[in-house]
Amino acid sequence: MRNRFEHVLGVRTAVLTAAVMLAAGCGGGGQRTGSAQERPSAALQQATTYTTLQGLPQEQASPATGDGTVVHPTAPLPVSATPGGPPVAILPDKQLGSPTWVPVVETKPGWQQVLLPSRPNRTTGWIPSGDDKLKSARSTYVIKVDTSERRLVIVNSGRKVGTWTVAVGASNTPTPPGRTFLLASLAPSKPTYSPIILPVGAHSETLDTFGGGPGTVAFHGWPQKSVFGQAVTHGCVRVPADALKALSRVPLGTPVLVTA
Amino acid sequence: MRLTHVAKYAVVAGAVATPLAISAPASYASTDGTGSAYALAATGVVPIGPISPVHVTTGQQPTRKSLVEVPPNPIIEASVLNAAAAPGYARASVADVRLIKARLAASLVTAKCTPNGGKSSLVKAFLNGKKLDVSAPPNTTIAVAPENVAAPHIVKVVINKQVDNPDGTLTVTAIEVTVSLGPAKTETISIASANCGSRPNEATPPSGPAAPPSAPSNEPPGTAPQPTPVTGDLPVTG
Repeated sequence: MRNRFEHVLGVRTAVLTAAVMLAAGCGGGGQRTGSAQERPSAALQQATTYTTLQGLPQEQASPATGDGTVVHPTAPLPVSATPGGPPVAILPDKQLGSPTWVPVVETKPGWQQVLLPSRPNRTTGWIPSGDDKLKSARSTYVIKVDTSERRLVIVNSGRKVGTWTVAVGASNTPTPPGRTFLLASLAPSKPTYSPIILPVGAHSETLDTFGGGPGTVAFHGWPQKSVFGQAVTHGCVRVPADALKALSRVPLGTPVLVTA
Repeated sequence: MRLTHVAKYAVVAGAVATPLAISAPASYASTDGTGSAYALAATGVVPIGPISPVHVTTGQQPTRKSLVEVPPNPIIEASVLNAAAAPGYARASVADVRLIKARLAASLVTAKCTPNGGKSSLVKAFLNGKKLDVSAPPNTTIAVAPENVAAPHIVKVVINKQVDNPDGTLTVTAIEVTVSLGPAKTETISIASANCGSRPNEATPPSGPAAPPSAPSNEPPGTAPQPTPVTGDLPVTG
């Protein structure tokens, strides 16, 4: 990954950065620095978009959509690599200021395996399911992104809410495939390219950082409609205004399935 | 005498239990949400229960509780107190109900909550000697004047009480009776109460033209909330 990253930066930085700056884009360009806000310490690491967690199982490719169960810890919860195993991370009750909601991908008696928002992509962990600090709910939505077709589909209770042509990651900074989830709903204090940013649990696999952030992939709007239908982003999915409006109503924790 | 009663209760219990047991596999298979029920509860001067409380949520197995007879108390006599719940479904029933000091009695009182709505039924139910409907419309309220010598203790009776709760669930209580036990002393007795939620979207009626389509209060119960954007910045991979 580092080689690809350096290649991207070394060869294409000027072009990429210029393009991003011109378009008032997502943060201002890739950077080589490590994740500035990563917080390794003697204490357990937090499962957030800023951290890289080691020793936890990664979900395999081609997952099912699941039953829509999403859970919200009302207080930080320990995360284990196996049901009943020792804690290896902490799932905080908030992500980027929004309440933490993560999808359940597997259950065992007393334990639930959830997708986590940390690197590497598709990292999961087991949390105790009987904990009174854990709220359970169900999202009836599924968000599907087909990067080949450059198409976004929102499904609610098995019915299509809408289909939109979107912009996806360019060939050298692709939108990572696999299952992730809606992580947060952000209203930028000074919106430039989108009134709402909807980060997901996945990160770019070719950019370690981007614009000072940890390379988090997101849904957001874009001022120029000409981008829709093209593979031009650094991993994010740029969507038309009405798609953004529909996405902003989808509960956090809702699965996002990205297929190539 | 006691033996006879127990034998009778066992028969009634079987009759009450059977419909839910038979319908369970087909109905529960693909349903999510919560289901909870209790057979009897009273609040006020003499708190009782809830008796046979059950609660399940998505992914859990159907469950049920039964009690042969309500413990001795000055308020109510009842037997075969059943409650059963499955995700999205709930049911409660009580047999041989008799309010002490009030002329309200019923052979069988049942409340049911399903994704398609709620329902109550009363078998051989009488209030002040008058027979009550087997299937009264929702929230049938019978007010009884305090000076009514025939029922000096009853203040109000609601049959087939149905409440749409703020969390989106529905509560069906077959009979709710408010009884006066003296100056400023009231007792509210709920007989057979079932609560369920997360009805499939298809079964959720439209909220009316004035309501926004995405209002959280119209969401099915147990549904994850619509997010509220928080002010914040994260440089993402635009």
